[in-house]
Amino acid sequence: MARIEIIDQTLRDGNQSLWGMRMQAGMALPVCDLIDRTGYSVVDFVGSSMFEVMVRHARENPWEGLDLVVQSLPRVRVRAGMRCHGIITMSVTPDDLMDLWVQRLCEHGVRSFWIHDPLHVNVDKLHRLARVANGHGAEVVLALMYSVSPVHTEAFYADAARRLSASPHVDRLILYDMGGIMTPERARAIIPGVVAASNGKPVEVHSHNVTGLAPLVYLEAVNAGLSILHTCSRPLANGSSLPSIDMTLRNLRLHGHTTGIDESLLAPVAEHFERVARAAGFPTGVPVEYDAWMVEHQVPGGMTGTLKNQLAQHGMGERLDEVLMETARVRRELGYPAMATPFSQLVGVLAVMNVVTGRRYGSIPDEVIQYAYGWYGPPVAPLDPEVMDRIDSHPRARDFRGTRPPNPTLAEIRRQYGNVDDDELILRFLVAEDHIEAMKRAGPVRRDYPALGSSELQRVHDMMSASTARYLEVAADGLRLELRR
Amino acid sequence: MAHVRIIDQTMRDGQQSLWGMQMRAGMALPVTPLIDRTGYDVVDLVGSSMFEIMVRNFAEDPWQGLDLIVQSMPRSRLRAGLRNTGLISMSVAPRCLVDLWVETLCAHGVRSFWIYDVLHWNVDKTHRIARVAKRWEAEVVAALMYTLSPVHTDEFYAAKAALLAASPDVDRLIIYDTAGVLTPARARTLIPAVQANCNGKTLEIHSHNVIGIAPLTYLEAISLGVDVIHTCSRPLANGPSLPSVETTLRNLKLAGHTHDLDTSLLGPVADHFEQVGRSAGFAIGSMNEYDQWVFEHQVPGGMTGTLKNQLAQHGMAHRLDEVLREVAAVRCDLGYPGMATPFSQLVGVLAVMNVVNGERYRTIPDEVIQYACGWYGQPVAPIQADVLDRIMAAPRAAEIAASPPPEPSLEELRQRFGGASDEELLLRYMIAEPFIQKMKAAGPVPRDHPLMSSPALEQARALMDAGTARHLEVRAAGLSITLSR
Repeated sequence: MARIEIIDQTLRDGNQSLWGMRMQAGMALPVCDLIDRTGYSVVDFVGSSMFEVMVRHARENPWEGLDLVVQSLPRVRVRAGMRCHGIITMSVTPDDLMDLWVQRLCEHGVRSFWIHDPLHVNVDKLHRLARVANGHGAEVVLALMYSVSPVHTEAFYADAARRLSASPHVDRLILYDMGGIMTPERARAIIPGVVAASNGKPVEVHSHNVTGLAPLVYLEAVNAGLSILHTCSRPLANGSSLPSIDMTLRNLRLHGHTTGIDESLLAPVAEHFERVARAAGFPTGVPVEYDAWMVEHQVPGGMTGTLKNQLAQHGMGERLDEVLMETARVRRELGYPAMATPFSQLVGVLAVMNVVTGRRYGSIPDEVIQYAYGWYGPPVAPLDPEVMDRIDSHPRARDFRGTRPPNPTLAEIRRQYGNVDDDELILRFLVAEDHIEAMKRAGPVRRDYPALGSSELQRVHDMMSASTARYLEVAADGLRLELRR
Repeated sequence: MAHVRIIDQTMRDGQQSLWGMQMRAGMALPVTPLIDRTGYDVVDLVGSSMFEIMVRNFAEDPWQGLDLIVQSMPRSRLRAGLRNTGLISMSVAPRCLVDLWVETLCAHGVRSFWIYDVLHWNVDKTHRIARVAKRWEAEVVAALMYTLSPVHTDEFYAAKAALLAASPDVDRLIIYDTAGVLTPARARTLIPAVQANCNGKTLEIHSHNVIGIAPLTYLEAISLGVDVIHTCSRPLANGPSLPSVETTLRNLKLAGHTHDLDTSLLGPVADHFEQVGRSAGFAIGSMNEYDQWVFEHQVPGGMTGTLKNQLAQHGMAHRLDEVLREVAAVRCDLGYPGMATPFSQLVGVLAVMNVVNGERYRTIPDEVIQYACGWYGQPVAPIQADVLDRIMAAPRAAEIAASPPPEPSLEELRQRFGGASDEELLLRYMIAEPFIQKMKAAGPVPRDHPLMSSPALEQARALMDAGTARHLEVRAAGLSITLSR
């Protein structure tokens, strides 16, 4: 029976999948010490979109928040994740800036990186970033982004595993199922080939519980010899997020496996995040019924909400199923990119525009043209010839045909953004200047977050937010309730 | 690709699993005409425990409620279910009374019966009841109660299927998975083994979605040739209940199967039951995360709540896990009875008492002695010798062993219980007289159920329930709320 290592995703992917990256440092800090002592090997925390959301919406300096969280997690490796050719934007970020991002995160105490390329083709970029991180003594984990298509075969993943693990700067691989569409059968088929090709390096498993199958995939993966799993604290687990630590431990134990997790620390952490969710009006994760539709369109759980909002803006909220169907079709026509940033967004935007305008590929975002011309590397399957013609004949096509993405040096970038330190340089690249000014004005990062003390008070608070009437009176059984504004 | 027939369990097993059989006729009547027109193969409606609860808890005449519902559903074949040895309570009912129950239900319009015997031993009793139902040209479905144990092999079920299907009065068989532990992998071996011995009769499948695998088991079953499946309207689906009709239909469609349901009627029915659930304070079905432990204890979803309540009465709510472990041990001691009425209750009660007393088998309910004496038929595996000794050494054992279940005639029962009609005789057999008097005094069955018209009012009602203080005042941002009692 195996000894299983657990990586905590509460603060990063749980937060990203369920709270849209809106977890402020003060929401996590009260329980960071508990998380630190729970026995996780790695605590994932940083993504560039979190930096953006913190500045824009919370007016909170993410570098300061990062420092506070890192200081409160001395026993574990804090992880950051990134796409190999981009932070924030859907387009391609200059290499020097990517390197600077890794360096600065290392300086701030990040000790583990997972890096992905949805197309698995930019091995040079992945290995260059691995060298930078490794040079700072950080662990490097390269991702196999799981996707279902005629080209994403077992051989495809074995080959990607061989190429990605070839660098001495790569410590681990990770099988990354952001759509939660891996089945136990597929795990059984795919994992042995990946393990055989991974140059003896450990392979982590990360599967979102979007259709309820992730716990079964984890058990299957452990059977196949993998021993590093990703979970979240219960309120930030399940649905579009990962399996819960509680149930994962129980399932492992019943199969005779062990972990180094101190289970007595799980409940206080879960209760804390439950209170935060209630107070902030964030959802908590709930498991969902198995839905084959998810496998068909492969839209990541968190993105369905975005699509709904976009449609609602056009008064077309009822056409979500149609858009999801169109998503599957656009993805096929674009050569089956894996549904992760930037492709999940590009495919989604195209699908929405195709449905809303009633004209397929009537408008085409620049990034799709860039993709077609290889800015992100060669597509894994050829684009549909008709769609390629539409792209070729687009007015913007001549601006990108035969070009490479601009790749200014750090010196050139510094000239563009003026005389600021590297941390602020990165913020300025991520976020417009006025947001940064507003963030600075807001003062230091808060170290906690006010949560109401009782469910009754919480109920009153909910009612006060829900009620729009100026005066409301309800009377029954000797009890009278009045609301006045 | 298959044409799949759907059986609606919203008003029977959905509400049994989630609402504890508390759905009153008036809660269903506003939408029964919609359910009637949806195109279900069968609509399950009646269980004897529902009769008991309607009278005891609501002073509502269940025969009258049944008549109202039957009248509102002229297109549908309506089903009732029964244990072949019992009517109510955990004990054994006289044969003539079981027959009278079936005949009276037929007289009130029931035209389909599913009949079960957890031990699968009393095939003669099942066939006798089938004959009674056939006099009314009602459909008869004999159940294979699925459970996990060393004795419940594919061969076991195949042999029982052959015995049950042998009668010309049995129209269909059903694989009935109360705990939701039938995996797709097991379905692949179990279903062909059963089909081979079905005599060409239709096979239904009924699997509770306790750990999220029932939808996958349904898809597997259909690919193996099963074409009748059981579902519930969404608010009464999932968790301890069955898969939702909404998602099941989508999964069927994506697998290329067809069905006869009018999907436009599903939304209004679901909305209605959601409102009823909210206004009555009943649970709305939600999913559970996959939990390996269910395979060990096999406690049906709805029963975990009962065990929790029983433990709470002894101030031992924190010992639920221990009780569930004891449930698995007791079930093994007793020769692996399937976890359905009456054995799920008997095993559960013994487990609770063993844990609460701190000594195993110190208290032994009469029904356990009756089980050991063979009143329910022979156990599927021998009772552990030392446990059998404990049971037969119980003070009541000699008396029970000397007095096998009485088989009074209908005349004798009429003399003993009185009652102006068969309907009243049945009620009097099931329920104590004062409850029946109260029911009669309560007047006719209400035809609807008051619902709150808006979420805001609903919130006000919830607040009124929650607030226990005599005076509560909260002020903020120009809004003030005062609660006084």
